[in-house]
Amino acid sequence: MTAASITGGQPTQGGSARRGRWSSRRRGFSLSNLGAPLLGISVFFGFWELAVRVFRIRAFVLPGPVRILREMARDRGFFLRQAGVTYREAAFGLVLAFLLAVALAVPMSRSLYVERAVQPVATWIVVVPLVCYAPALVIWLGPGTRPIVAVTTIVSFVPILFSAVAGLRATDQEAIELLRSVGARPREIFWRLQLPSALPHLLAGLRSGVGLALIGAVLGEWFALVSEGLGVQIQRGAAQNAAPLVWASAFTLGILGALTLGAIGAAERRFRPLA
Amino acid sequence: MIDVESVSKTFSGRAGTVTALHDVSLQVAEGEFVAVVGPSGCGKSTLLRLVAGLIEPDSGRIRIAGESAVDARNDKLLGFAPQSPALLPWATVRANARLLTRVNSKMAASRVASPAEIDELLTRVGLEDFSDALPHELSGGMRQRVGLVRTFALHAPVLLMDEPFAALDEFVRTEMRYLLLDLWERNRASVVFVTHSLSEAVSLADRIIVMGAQPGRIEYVHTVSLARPRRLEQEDELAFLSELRAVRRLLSMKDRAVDSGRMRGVR
Repeated sequence: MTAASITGGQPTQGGSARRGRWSSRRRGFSLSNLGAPLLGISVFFGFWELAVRVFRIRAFVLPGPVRILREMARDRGFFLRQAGVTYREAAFGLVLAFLLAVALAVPMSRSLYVERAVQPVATWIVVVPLVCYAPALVIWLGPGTRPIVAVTTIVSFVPILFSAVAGLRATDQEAIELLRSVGARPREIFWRLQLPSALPHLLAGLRSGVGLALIGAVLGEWFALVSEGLGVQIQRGAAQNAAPLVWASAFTLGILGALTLGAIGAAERRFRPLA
Repeated sequence: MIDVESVSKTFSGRAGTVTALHDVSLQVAEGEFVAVVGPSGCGKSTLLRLVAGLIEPDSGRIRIAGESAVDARNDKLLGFAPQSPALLPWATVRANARLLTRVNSKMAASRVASPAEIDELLTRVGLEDFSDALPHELSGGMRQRVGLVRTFALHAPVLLMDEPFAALDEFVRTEMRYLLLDLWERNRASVVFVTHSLSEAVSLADRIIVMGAQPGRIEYVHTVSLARPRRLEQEDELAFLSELRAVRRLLSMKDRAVDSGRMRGVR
């Protein structure tokens, strides 16, 4: 514990209280946080490898993790490049979804009517499989990166939207009144109070959006007639019965997702509400 | 300074309509400290929020320094202190103390405290070593002191306080009372201070407004004749105790009136 538990209203020694905004040593990144995830990963892939060896599963059916990693290592430059392409699509779509979601969340958080109007459409977007509209997007936007980004945006939009609404609603009402009592404009209240209050929720929304965005990018690549990207390689590998290529691409995708989630998780720990 | 003229306000919800205030009139002079006491649901907070321009009355009129409440709010004439300190959890003590001077900054820019003056106020309330601390690192009393500095930094001619010390324990609460008076003595704003505590009301106020519920209305007005500046030691003196007893008697008279009214209603 640090100065968090000063009681009695008397100022004590101030040294421990000198600390910048947001930061707190206890909440930051540390190696000990990695222990549990590493154990989980080792057990999961250990059993996989074991099963492949014990039951002598052939590589074209299911390659073991060691074989997959060897495949990845052999063609490092290739997989890095494919990962870069897919990651750019996913990240671009995610950022777009984030901005759109926050923009729409503002009127929704202010009016229950607007929220209820948006609800069925949002549900519809979640429920309809993206394979239904991905081909249509390619026809509208032309082959290439654009429809991929569009798919990514659409699939990651809804979870971010609802987190953003919850976050903007969670703002301390007394703090809002306090700002209103000195004639603060709605825009000032939004930037100074509501948006920072919503930040933890926004990050949580972003976290649920990451996986969807990566899936969206992969699926988008299948329809968008492009020649680069992890989705393209998965499709190509499947067509050629090259299981190691499929799985190496999938592994790369998994690593990308895990790293991104880790980064967002670190940001969430840093911006966790402190009150 | 504050002129409330036969103001009424009803709220309608699922449970029907509630008359929060019925025909309430109140004048607060320049530099006068008025405390408002009364049972829960008597409209104390509603009255304060009306004066703060946060809600509008159904009928009646409110003028603050000759302006409507909403204009006074937009002109930054009001220092409003909510029940909780409502500090921004991600901002340092110093940033929280400066917050109200920074928003709507075109208004009253020359009147509000400068950053240096705010640091001085923080020193005055004993928080100089905590300027860079975050609210969750402070005790309840310390947070409320940040709230006081934030309010006083406005140098507003009118202060509206809604039970600001209600969540504090008795010792800290007493301490806060005299800290508030100390800050107030320096520029003597007009104050409306809502409270549940009679001793708080007596020790702070020039006049005490006793309100009654259903519908919310002003029952009695009591003038406190204790010398200023008030001191903690005064609270043990006979004069203080007899003031306290007088207010308590007014409150119990009101309770009896309400009870008899209810009994009549039953018949």
